[in-house]
Amino acid sequence: MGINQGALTEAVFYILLSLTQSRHGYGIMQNVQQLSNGRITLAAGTLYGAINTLLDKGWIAALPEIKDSRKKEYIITDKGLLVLKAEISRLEELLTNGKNILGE
Amino acid sequence: MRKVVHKIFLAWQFEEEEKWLNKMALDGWVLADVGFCRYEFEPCEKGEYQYKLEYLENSTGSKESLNYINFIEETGAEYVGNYMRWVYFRKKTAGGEEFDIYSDTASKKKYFDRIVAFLKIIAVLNLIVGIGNIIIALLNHTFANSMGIINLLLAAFIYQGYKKIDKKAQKLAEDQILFDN
Repeated sequence: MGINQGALTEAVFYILLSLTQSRHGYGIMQNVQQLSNGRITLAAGTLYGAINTLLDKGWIAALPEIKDSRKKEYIITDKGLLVLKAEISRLEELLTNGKNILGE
Repeated sequence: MRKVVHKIFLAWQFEEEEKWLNKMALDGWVLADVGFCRYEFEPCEKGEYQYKLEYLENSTGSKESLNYINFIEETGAEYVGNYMRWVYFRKKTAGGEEFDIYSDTASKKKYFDRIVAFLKIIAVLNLIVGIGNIIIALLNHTFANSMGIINLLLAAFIYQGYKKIDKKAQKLAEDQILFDN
């Protein structure tokens, strides 16, 4: 997995970013909404699918379940952090090229 | 006081069904229980709830489905009931926010594809059974083909429902080329 990984979806990008600290599903939804100033509202089914895919990929991990709590919490893994950093470099490239060519 | 309404929605009319349930909620009736072509309502504040239907990926009683329903409920929606793999969720209308289960094209397309695959199987099964029944009737020199013809008509009917949802799925696929959400 090098610089040439594909672009992450907005949802995945913000989910990974939210999980730099442990959060449960609803916590992720609230954080993404806050980070994007209300622009992105992650719907529950979309988030559920994304979480399962990210778990399969090993980009995030589920924390051991706490007693008396049905809510599962998740956290980003080292692998996930690498993916996130690679995506930020890719976005920087897009941004730099865009600004340079449009002369802004 | 509860109110029972009998109404038919076909598998490809789930969006129409949502609209109808939302309209009932606007009129002050919230869905309390659901069965085969049967809807049971309770009084509620006008427009208190919004609905979403979903066709589950796994059978209703499975661990995966229970996990999924639990997850959806954690986000503030309520599970109302199910009819086969179709489940009904409602959420309190808060601040004009629209209740959605899928918020990007990719996940919505995957959901539509699931329904398309299901309709396709039913249509093809009816086609095969229909042809089989007609062949059997011809071989036995009976003219009791009516079962076979009913199967073929059903196959054609389900096929048009399949086309309707597949068209929506294809439209989403086009959007996906341009945007990732």
